Amino acid sequence: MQAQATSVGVCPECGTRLEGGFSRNLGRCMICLLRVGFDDAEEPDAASICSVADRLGN
Amino acid sequence: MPATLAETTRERLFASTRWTMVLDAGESQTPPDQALSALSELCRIYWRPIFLFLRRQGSNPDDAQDLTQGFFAHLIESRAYARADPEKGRFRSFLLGALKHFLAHARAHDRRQKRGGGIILGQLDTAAIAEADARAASLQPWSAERVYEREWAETLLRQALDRLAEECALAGKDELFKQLNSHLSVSSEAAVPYEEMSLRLGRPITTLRSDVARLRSRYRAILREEVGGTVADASEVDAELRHLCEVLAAAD
Repeated sequence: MQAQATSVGVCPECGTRLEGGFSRNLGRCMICLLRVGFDDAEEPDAASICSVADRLGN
Repeated sequence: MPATLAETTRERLFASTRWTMVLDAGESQTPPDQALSALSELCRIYWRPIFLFLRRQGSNPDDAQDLTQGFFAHLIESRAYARADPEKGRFRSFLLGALKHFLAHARAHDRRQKRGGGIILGQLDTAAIAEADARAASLQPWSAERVYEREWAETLLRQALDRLAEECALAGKDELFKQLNSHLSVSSEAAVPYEEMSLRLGRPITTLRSDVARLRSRYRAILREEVGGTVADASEVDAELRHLCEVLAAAD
């Protein structure tokens, strides 16, 4: 099972809203795919990403 | 056509240095043909963000295609890339800035030049154009800049996943890739249970866990190489990944 949009449009893995981050073409949340690219020590947690969205008023 | 190991190795080296080679051309450290080859490859990969930016700005599909082609021709002919600032040089930012400059002076470019980008891209695939165009329609509420950056992230990820799929196919593990690739981004155990995959693939669970770990590790390396090919210095890879995460998180 991949990270599918839930009824409230939130990624079940990273907790961010999927309207902007979910790719129908790739079939999953792009934020989750990008986060794999961080070295483990550098990987930001979902909360820090959500806080950016909150900061921008989204 | 399956790639050889040598080709795969060359691709890996090339992928992580594309933009650096273009920037070096401005200081004559890279032969022009290599820089042109690197720039052409970057344009071939990242034409969709340009096309969707133009569509979001109001160009019809034909004009957006012409302008995309013409813009790439202009990049080559004007050697605009040679004036990019290596200190600030992410290819994503450079390309959007150069496009806006190109559009601001669009009247100076005739129709013939608009078609000249075929030197780089060839004829854009009709199906790919249709797919990109359908996506443009679904992104109406967003600014052109947000559409551009979101499409950039998707193009980058598609490139990395395609490379991973090719490598697996080359190793005769395409079926394993199809079954396991949904685990690439899953840090929890929420994906298809290993027990179920074990039955489906006839592989022990411990082996599957190792397979997933190796696949994720290889995906991480490829993704970082692809990002590395768009920034001026390898130290910027994490910052670029973080930027794209922030754009996506903010884009709803």
